[in-house]
Amino acid sequence: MYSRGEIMSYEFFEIIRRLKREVDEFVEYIERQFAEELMGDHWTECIEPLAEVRELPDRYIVTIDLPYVRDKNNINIKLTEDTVIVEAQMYRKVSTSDLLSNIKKTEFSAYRKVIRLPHEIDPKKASATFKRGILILDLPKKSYGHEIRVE
Amino acid sequence: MEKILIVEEEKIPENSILINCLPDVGLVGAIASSYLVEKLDMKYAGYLDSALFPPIIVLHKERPLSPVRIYIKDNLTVVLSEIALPLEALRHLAKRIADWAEEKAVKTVITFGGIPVPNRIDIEKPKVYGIGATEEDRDFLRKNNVKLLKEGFMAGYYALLLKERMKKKTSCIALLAESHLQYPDPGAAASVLETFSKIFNIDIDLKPLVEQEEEYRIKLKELMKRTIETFKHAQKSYEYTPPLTYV
Repeated sequence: MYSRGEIMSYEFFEIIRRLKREVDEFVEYIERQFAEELMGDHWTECIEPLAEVRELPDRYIVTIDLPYVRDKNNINIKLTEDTVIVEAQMYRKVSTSDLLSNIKKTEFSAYRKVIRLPHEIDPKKASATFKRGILILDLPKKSYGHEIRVE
Repeated sequence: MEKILIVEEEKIPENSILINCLPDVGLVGAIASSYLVEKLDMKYAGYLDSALFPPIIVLHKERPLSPVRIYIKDNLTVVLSEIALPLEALRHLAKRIADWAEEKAVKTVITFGGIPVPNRIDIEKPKVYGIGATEEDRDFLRKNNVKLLKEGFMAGYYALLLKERMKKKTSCIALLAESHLQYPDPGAAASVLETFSKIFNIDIDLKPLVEQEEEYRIKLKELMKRTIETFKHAQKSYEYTPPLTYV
């Protein structure tokens, strides 16, 4: 038989253990979120680059900032009717210790950016240029309205 | 109580030129001011604090520091921020800096920034434009061959700072380079510093800034993202709006 005191202290420690487990899980969750948001995807070793989508009446102009990418042949662009996927290889590795000293060291050598567009585009009419480390995608929209005459 | 506390750890020189920059368009001011501090080997002289600032400290060489700091050297004082600040803080900060500049009998308050241009990618060397708070400032800029911005709106911290200095009829000059809006732009920062060094006769070696351009772009990616978030509140889109009347 356990004494009342022993049962109470067991319960007490059980609560502490459960709390600790929950806190640990939460901390792990936050760390994962934080790391993903800040440093791209650890598992694919990719950084998410800065990108800008400008919508014009008949097309989207997407620009992506790709420092450390030297050659257009190191850029891979995949288009579907509503998604742009850009992957690019840097000419050198970038370490997180260059970026953030207080986070475990991880190295990156590639970018990956997925952009979902609000309107369908025509991938066959799309074109891309790469200038001063910035990729520019010209993506014509699939249907650009039906023209009518003013009577 | 003051909303913004200025803690001076060193004696701030009187009659100095005060450079005040915050993360903004293309991070031009943030890059230019921190480069200046590093290249001129300026001395840490204090910091700013406020309940309106985000709960952040920054570590440099093991030392925890406020992200908004003061640096001095000779007749130069720099106040820079390493983080994007919320709009409410900006209003109080502009007023506090203008008051503090008056207390310190500052000769002029200078701010570096960017003018977002859509064709920045085709521009080899960004042009620099000036805004002067007083007629003397504008004369000074004209004499030094800095083109003045003629018409248009200006939004954000620099607008607030110019306004506060105008209220006091005291000198304030904004040097603005053509820049990217949403990408860190070390090239624009180099242009701004070149103009600054010319008109104030201060030697600055700009070569490393241009050479390490890619490093700046990748390092400042996250700060740029956070700065963009603040643009909405600061009504940055006004800068693309033509003004209503001619005066």
